[in-house]
Amino acid sequence: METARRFLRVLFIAMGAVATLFYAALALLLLADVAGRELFSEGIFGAQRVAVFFTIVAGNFGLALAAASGAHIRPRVADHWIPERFGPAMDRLADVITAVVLLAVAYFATQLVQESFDFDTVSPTIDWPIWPVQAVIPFGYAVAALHYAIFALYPPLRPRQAQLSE
Amino acid sequence: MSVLLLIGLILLLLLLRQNLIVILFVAGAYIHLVFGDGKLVYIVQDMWTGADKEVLLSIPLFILAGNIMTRGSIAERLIRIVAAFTAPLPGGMAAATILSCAVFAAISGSSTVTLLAIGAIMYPALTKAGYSKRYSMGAICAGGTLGIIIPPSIPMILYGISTEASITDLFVAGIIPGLILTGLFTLHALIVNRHLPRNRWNGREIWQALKTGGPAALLPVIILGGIYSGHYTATEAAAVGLAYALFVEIVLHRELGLRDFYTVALETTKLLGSLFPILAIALSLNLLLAEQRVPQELVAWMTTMTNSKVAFLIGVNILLLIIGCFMDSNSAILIVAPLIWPIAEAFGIDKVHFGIIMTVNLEIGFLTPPVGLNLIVAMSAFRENFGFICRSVLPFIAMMLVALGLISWIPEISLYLVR
Repeated sequence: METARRFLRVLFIAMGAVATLFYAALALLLLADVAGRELFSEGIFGAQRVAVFFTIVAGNFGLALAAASGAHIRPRVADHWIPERFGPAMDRLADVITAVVLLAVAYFATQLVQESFDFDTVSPTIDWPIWPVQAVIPFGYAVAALHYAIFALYPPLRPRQAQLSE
Repeated sequence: MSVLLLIGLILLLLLLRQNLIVILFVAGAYIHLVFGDGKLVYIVQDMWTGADKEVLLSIPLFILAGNIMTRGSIAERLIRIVAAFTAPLPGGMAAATILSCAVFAAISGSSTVTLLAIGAIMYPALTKAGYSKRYSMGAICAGGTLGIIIPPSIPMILYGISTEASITDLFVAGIIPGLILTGLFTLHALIVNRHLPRNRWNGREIWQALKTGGPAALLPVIILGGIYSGHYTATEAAAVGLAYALFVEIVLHRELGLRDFYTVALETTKLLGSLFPILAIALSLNLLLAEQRVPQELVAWMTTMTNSKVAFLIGVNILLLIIGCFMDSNSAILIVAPLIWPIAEAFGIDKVHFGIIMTVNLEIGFLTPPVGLNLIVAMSAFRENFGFICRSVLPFIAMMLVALGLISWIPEISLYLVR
């Protein structure tokens, strides 16, 4: 379990650092674009498109970070339908099901990336191939699924879940 | 039969303690398999289409800016300015709390950020100054909700994305309703606390407050002024707001370092990590429902039930208030808005006006148990009893219901500045 804990910690720090870099780049890019338009009457070509890509990358990294922090929104309306003594077992089962579903999303997202790669799909305006950006979707979902699988395997590593987030 | 199975499946997932991402994805997959073409890769395709939008950029930027302002000293300085001006009024500090929330709401798009930024300073200050704990708690919880009606507002951005309404128009339309609510709360603050001792005007304190907090006080002017004058879009306003907040906190106040930025960015990433997948899947689900003509079916069904606009408005307000009790505002808007909006349109309701009605309803949802977010946040932040917090917000909910009635009944309140 200690190895799993260390692994999750390293993953958290690494993904957090990458997401932070993307947010910083996103903010800088948009600022430079607005400044360029205001001061020199010309923004940065394709800045908003690239910024959308940065948001998608950071957002999908955030998916795993939110899983690691128990920040995903979970309705608790049905929690009391099952006797409290089954709570820990239900949480474990929940983590297994979540891991399976997220892995399924990752699988279908991989198909999407493959299709974009095969058809050479490019982004409008900037003409960049979109598959490298799309590849972050299966990655994000797969890493989030891995988190839930580890929580199911080692319940003490499961973070306390936030009821809601804004 | 298939619809009943879908409802059963959702209930089963709730029972199995699944998060909203899983519930929405499985529901989408079921609809694809039973009613659609059965190709599940299309869900992810639609998720990509939903997420690949430039208008989404304003969300991380506003959240990032809000978190930076909460971590730095902008809130503290804004409060000092407002408190200096309201000191001679009876219940001046209570009025300062509400007005500070309103000013902070004009630079942050979030209710809990506003609650925490202002409440962390004003709740202890109010109770120390002799204001009742019950009033103080209610005021900061309700004042926090101004964060989503006074622009910028994350729920308004999500409504704009879901229904293709102009986000700039939504922001402008939120100004008067926001001021009405601020006015009601302030009036209540002055009446309820009229017996408390007042202070004298202190020119020196006003000058000092303006001197130290002046740059922070310019933030709402820069953000709202830019949007209202048409100088820049919501996304650009978010970028400018973020840059200015960083400049003020790092260069002028010297309150924020690189390490703080990492912490703030990490918090933002986690928040968006829970919001973005829901956004993408909800948008994918909406495309699917539109393809299956579900909104049109709903419109046809609703018009057979009633053809009265007033009856519809009363019904939809009650429905949204109930939804607000059980769902957070962002998820509720993403899931419900695309379904209800076509019905509202059939009754001749303006898209922007309806967005404001939804936002005010879900704003009330921040104060209604069992999942009123501000109640939960206040409970953990200020370590107070949940029942006590619920009772403390009751007068504020009553005021908000009055405002909701006015806003629903008189479209001009929302649309006057838009037209």
